[in-house]
Order: sequence, then structure tokens, then C-alpha cells
Amino acid sequence: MPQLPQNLSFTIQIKMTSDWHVGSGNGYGEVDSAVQRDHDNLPYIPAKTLTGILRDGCEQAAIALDGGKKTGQWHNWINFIFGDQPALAEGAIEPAPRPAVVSIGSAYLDNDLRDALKAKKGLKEAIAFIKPGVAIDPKTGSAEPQCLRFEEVVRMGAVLNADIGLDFSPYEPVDQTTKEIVYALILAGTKLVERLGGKRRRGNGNCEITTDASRDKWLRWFKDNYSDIEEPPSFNKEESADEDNSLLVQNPQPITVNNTETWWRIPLRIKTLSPVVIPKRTVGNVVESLDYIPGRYFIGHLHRKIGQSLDLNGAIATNQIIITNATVEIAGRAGKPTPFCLFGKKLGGGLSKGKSVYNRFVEAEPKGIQLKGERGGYVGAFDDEQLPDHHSIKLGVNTHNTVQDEVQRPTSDVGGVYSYQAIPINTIFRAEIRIPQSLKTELDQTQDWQNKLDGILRIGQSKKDQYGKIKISVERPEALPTQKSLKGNLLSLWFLSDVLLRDERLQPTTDPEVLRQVLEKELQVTLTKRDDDELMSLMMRSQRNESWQVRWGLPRPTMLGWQAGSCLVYQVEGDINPQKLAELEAKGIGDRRVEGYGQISFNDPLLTAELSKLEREDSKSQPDSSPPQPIASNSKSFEYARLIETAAWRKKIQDMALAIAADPEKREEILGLRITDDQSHPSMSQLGGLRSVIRNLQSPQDISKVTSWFDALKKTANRREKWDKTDDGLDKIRTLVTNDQIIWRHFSDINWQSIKITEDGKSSLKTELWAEAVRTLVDAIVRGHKRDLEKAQDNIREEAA
Amino acid sequence: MNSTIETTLYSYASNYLMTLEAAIAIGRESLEGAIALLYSPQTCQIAILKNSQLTNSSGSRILGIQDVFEARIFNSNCELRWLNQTNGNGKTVFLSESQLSLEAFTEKNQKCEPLSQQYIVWGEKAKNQPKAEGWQRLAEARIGKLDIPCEQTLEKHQRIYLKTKEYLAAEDQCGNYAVIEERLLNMEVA
Repeated sequence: MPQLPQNLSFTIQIKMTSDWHVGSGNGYGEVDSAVQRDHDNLPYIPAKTLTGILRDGCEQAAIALDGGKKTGQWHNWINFIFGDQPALAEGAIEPAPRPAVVSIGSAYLDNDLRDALKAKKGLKEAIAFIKPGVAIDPKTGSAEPQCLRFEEVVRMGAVLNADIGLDFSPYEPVDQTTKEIVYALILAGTKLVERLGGKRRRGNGNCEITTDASRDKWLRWFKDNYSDIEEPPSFNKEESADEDNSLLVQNPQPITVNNTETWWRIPLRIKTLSPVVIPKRTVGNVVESLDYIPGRYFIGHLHRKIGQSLDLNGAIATNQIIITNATVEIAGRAGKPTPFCLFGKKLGGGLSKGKSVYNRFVEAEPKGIQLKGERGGYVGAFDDEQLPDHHSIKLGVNTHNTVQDEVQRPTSDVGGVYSYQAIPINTIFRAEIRIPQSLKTELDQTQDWQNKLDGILRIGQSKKDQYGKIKISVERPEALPTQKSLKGNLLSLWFLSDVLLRDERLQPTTDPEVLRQVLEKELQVTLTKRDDDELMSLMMRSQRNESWQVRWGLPRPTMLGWQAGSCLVYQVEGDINPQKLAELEAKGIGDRRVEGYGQISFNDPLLTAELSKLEREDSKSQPDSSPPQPIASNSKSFEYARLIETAAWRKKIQDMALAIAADPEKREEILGLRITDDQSHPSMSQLGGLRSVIRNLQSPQDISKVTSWFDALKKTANRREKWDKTDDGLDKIRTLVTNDQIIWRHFSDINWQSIKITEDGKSSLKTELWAEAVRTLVDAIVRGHKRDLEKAQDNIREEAA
Repeated sequence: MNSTIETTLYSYASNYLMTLEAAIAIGRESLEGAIALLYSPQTCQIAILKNSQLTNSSGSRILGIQDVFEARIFNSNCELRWLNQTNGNGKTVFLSESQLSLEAFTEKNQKCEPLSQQYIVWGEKAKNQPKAEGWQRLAEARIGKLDIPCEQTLEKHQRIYLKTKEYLAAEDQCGNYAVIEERLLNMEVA
């Protein structure tokens, strides 16, 4: 019996044995279909493509095991492994869709090769090439008009690695045999995958998937045992809910609420390890993403990690725990949503430019300057001396498709093509958990409870494959201030997250009057809207948020409230308790504060300062990182790296040869060619002969084929004379083909270092490509000479006419 | 605009916090036979209120009602809204077009124009039907089964709709005509 991989996770290698094209769904310039590229702009196989192709491979195995039928026990195993496909289902299906137990990551090039390629732009381009194609009219068998297209194709030979994991938690407990069957069936699927990507029936995308060395043993085990295997475990989520018939498994115990105790913040640093889709709304076939991670996404993680040490349900029910939204990190702290009271000079100003920003809560509208409201992005801490840092997250968009098996292409019947907007990989966010002293004391009884929160989890949409992987690191708790003073009689309020309030009928509201009443009740003062014709006092926008409740298996009610970044100023009558202000900042206001809603800030310096005279100095650019080491000849990526490097050399040689050939002086300097009036020296027939003979120069061993042509030419007077008016052409050409260094002197302007990634690449390729470089240069020069000769002849003819 | 008939919307907000059970008990006469949407962290349940008891599509009584964080219980006569605010005690609101007799509630009435609306409920008629009478089972591949209280018989290719009423009136400050409230009424086959 072979052993299952440790932690039920393993890596597969995909070797592409032909050129391949996994399309991005769009094109650029003259290219109609570009290949999918990752965050480093390198080709990769997206997890969704790989999942689909592996499922297809496993289905092939299932069809064979089920006796050629399209349904049966082994197809049930495939659905158990890869999950149900509601998009393909027909009719009213009563069981809820089963989740997948397998999660498949995207397949990327080897790390050494990635590092080497990332630093070299020229090589990144050389990894793919443009392939022309045309549609053939089936009736005539000839090319259809208007159907010429250009597709980007990645060079063959790439080896990509993908991580695969198995997670049986939705089905726990699962016996060992089930795990072994799943693993063996996936390995069988990998063996049956032969092609992937676009045009895979026309020669593209041939591949071999290899796993660990035990695959054959597993397949033998499967062959010997498959007849004894029964149906996969059933998904009994609904049954357990019916049996239980209660709304909550664990009843929260009442927690004594003490409003005067100190609150603590536990900072979280979150790094995205893959693109992350936090669904904001779905528009047609595009899923839009938020640019932050709402606090609710961490609740499950907290339950799993510290649920044993703390009655988290009780804490949540009594608002004794707050998880703030994770926003982009700016100088080590969570960025705050740009307040709507900031306006930038429309031309040449604004937070992104770092100058000409007006705080309309304290500054009147300047005369003669057109302003534009600052929207979107996040600001860092403000120090009264310069404008705060301003960051925005540039969301990426990836296109995917659902393939209909019968026609093997995406169709609208099964969903067709769809796109996900996503937060990019390697984005760093900051959030914090806030708890009162009493909860912290309870938690402190468990050793290293903070460290338990460290870890990797998957969140958001499509988290079983290429999206949603994040890493959480926890820092030491810090006590929050217990006092917040108010200067003067103005109270400014800034919403650091969306805020949800309800009116007297419990209906979600965006009526500022309701907010005023809530604050008056909390602060025990009278608040009035500031009355000033010159200044703004209220900048609020409404926001609705839709989402899916995974545990319910249903969408949850729409969240309607004020948008983060809204702000306003009140005039205060009465004395505000500084402790109460600090408490509201810690605990927030309104509904769903544990999920990150309702975070507010009072009298932030950014809302109370004049900004128009301030600027921001650009932060110093990061020092260049050290160049990557060349790939060694014993590296498994060496062969493919050399292939790409060679392609890049060829491109450089061609480009340089064309540049040289366009210059008559250089043509004369290198080959001695001249044009006098409308005469070519040597004649074009001689140059035709030269081109023919140079084509024979395929390697240094072929030099004699060229030199013998020169010898024969010199012996024949009427041929030799045709070279008399050249600038020593015959000798120059002979030297070019006999001295292996001359050609590289002509190409000395090329920056070889910019495309070098393999060890010994330069010297090896100089040898390998020497003959090709000579051929390319001679051919380009003769062509250039011919073009200029024809121009000269045309000019003389026109003058004569 | 479907209708220009004016009506009065009565709303009653509790002056103190109470449990959901207490709120149901207060409105039991008006809410007999009402449909309940009960939201808790673990599940979103649909129930019917009969004889002051909430029952599900299996005919069983709903347990763990103290864990509900939000409830909307409605029939064509009245809607009860309840929101947990502290330890199972929450604010209660009744909405109706007829006057209710409720002590310790603040009454507010508003002249407005009703507008009927309907929303299609997710799912088609399922093969199997729930045990309890007065329920219909809908199903949809993306979510599985969904049991909905509906007295009418659902034929294949028919759908169930959530009937609601929007109330339009001029807003106080700027005079714009807007939807000031929406009341859930019933689940019906349309």
C-alpha cells in the first residue's frame, strides 16, 4: 500500500511539450488573443483552467470505470472530489451543491526561472511569440477574407508547478480508504491529461503531468481494488440541520458589559498570497471586488483559533469584540478611507499629486480655481506638516469561462465567459481586533493565544482554486486611549468604515438626522449642524453592500448605510465626556460592528487642518535589488531558460541587422557595397549569388562552402570585375565569414547583459548563433542595398521623364 | 403608478427592549398565520406562526429562538420587526394599515400612497414536498431546496412570489416624493 502525501497536499509538474496558449480573453495592439499572464507578467496556467482539465482527465477515468456511461458510481466520486456544478444542472435539484474536497492552485514557472525572467524585460517578451492564423472556408478550402488573426503563443518546453491540496472537513469524519481512493483517482486523472489551453486539438498545449514517483504504484493499487469500492460519502449538511432543528448550536452566555474598562487593539498584518475576490456586486458576467477585506471574513478564523479559549459567540452577541476592516497598509498602519471633505485642484493637484488639496470643512472654496472631490483610495496618518500618503489598490481583472463538454467550448448555456475583479497578489493590509480588558484577561490565561491567530486562510469568492489565499500575522496587543479630548465646540466625525443605522421603524436608513440623534444619546449633548455659508459641514454618501452567507447557503439581506469616507461637522452644546468619545472610537456605532461596520473617528487632525498650503515630498525610491544569479547548467530550468534566451538573441540580432542595413555607410563599411547613380557595385546578380551561398552557412563547418565561392569568383575575370568598384567588398565578406569575432563587433551596440539569464549564456550563444548572425546581417544588408538601389533608379527615371 | 388611493400607515415602536417571544406574544392576534423570517448566525429559517408557536416545514417547533438576531414576521394585516440589541432583548416595531392597540409603544401614523410590489422567490417546484401542510418546496441547483409557506398549490412552471407593499409620501424637508416604507405581506403563487 503506497503512502498518502503528508498533510494531504502535493505538487504536480506540467511539462509543455508543444507551444501553448491559455488565453487571457483579450488582445493588445495587433494581437487578437494574448496569453494569460500572472502578477509578474509571466505566462502561467490559471487554477481554473487546471481544475477544469484535471476534472476532465478524471472524468475520462470515470467513464471507463462506469462502463462507458456518463453517469454512475465513479461519476459520483468525481463530483465528490471536484464538487457539484450547479451551472450545468438542469431542473429543480433539491440537494445543496457539494463543495469540492480538492483545491488546485495555479501552475507557475519554476522560481529560479521566474526570478531571472522578472528582472529582464526583453526575455519576458521572448517567452512567447505571435502566431498568425486564418479561418478556412469549409466549402472552398481556401482562406476566408477578413479572418486573418494573430495569437500569442508560449514557447514549448516550459515546466510549471502547481500545488494540490485535499480538504475533507465538509465530510468529516472520512475514513482512510476514501482518502486513498480520492488520491488515486486524481493521479489517474493526471495521467490522462494530454493537452490543455486553446487550440489544443490543433497541436497546441500538449503536455505531460508528472507527480511523485509512486503514481504507478497507486494506479496498480487502484486497478486491484476498484471493483470493491462503493459510493462516496454523502453530503449531509441539510440532514444535520433538520435533526438539530435549532438556530444556534451553542447558546451564548450573557457577558457582563462594563463600559468603563480599557479596550485593547490587536494589530493584524494581512498579505495576499494570491489574487483575492471580495465580492462587491455582480454586473452582468463581471464580479466586482471591494478594495478592502471586511472584518466579517476573519470571524470564522477566530472561532477556529481562539474559540476554545473564549466564548466568542457571546462576545459577538454583546458587541464585546470588534474586527475592523482590513485596509491597505500605509506606513505600517491601516489606511483610512479618503474623507469626502477633501478636494483637489482639478488640474495638477490632489492627493495623488501631493499638492493643492483643500479641506472644505475649514477652507472656503478658492476663487478662480476649479476643485474636484477626492474619491477613492486611502490616506495615511497626518502630521500637520505635509499632506498624508495616499494609496489606491489597482484591482486586476481575469477572464474565465465555463466549458460545455459536448462542444468543448464556452457557451452561454453553461455560463460562457465571465470575469473576476481581484485584489492583486502581495498586497498588504492592516486590520485590528479590539477587545475589552475583561476578554483580554480571559484570553491571557491561554499561553501564546496571539500566535495561534497567525496562519494562512482562504477567503472570498472562488477560494478553492486561484483566489483568496491570505497570510495573517498578529502583533502585540496595545491599549487604546481611554480619553479623547474635544477642542472648541466643533465635533468632526469621519467614517472609517461603512456605517449602518436603523430608523425608528428598524428600517436601514441614510438619514443624517438619525445619526445626530444616535450621537446625542451616546454623548449626552446637543448637536447642531454647523451653519456656515463658506464652509461645508456634511459630506455623506450612501452605500449598499450585497453578500452571500456561506453558512446559510443563501444571500444575506442587503446592507444599506453610509459609505466609508463620509464626514460631517457638528456644533456642540454641552460638555462631552472625553471617555465616551474614546469609547465610541473603540466600539463604533450602529449595526454589525463586529464585522467591521460602524468605525468612526472624532476630530482627526486631517479634518480640522488647513491643507492648501501643504505638499507631500515624494518618498525615496526603493534601492534596486541585487540582480538575480544566472541559471546554472544543472538547474532543471536551464534548458527552457536557454531556449528563451536564444529566442531573445535572435530578436536582438534581427533588430540590429535591420538597423545596420538601413544605413548606406554601414553597408559599405561591412560589405563594401556602393550605389553610384543607378548602378549597384557589385551587380545585383552578384549579390543574388552571395545571398544564395551565404544561406549555406549553417555552422562554422560550412565556412569552406563560402570561401570556395570566393575562390571560384576570383578566378573568373568577368565575375571578379563586377566587384572592382566596391570598397574592397570581396575581402570584407571573406573576413566576415572567416573571423568569428567580426560579426559580434558589428553587433557591439546590443546590450547582451539585458537578456542574459543562463550561466555561460553569452559565450555559448555567440558560438551557437554565429552562422545565423552572419546570414541575418548579410541578408539584411543586401535587401537594404536593393531597396535603396531601386529608389535611386526611380529618381533617375523620373528626372529623365 | 398603479394606484392613487391614500392610506394611513400606522407604526408602533416599543418603548423598552423585549425578547422576541414577548414581542410575538404582544402581537399574537394580529399575527396569526404569519410568515416568519428568522435570522441567526447559523441559519436563516422560514417559519409559520400558529397558536403563538413558530413551526417549520417539518411541522416541528422552532427551538433556539433566543439566538435570533433579527426577525420579520408578517401577514397581509401586520408586520412585526424585531432586532436583538442586548442579550436577546431588542426593539420591536409593528406596522399595519389598521390601528392596533398596543401599550408601551409609541404610535406614529402617516398618510401615504400604497404601491403593490412582488419579488420572485428563488427556485422551481421540487419533486418532493414538505411534511407540513401549507408549505411548498422549491429547489434550485445553486442553493438546494427551499421550503416556503404558501397555501396555494404550486404547479410545475409556476413560481412563488413575495408580495410586498411600498408606501410613498412626500419627504418632510425637501418635498420629494419617495418610498418611505416597505411592508412584507405574503408568499403567493402568481
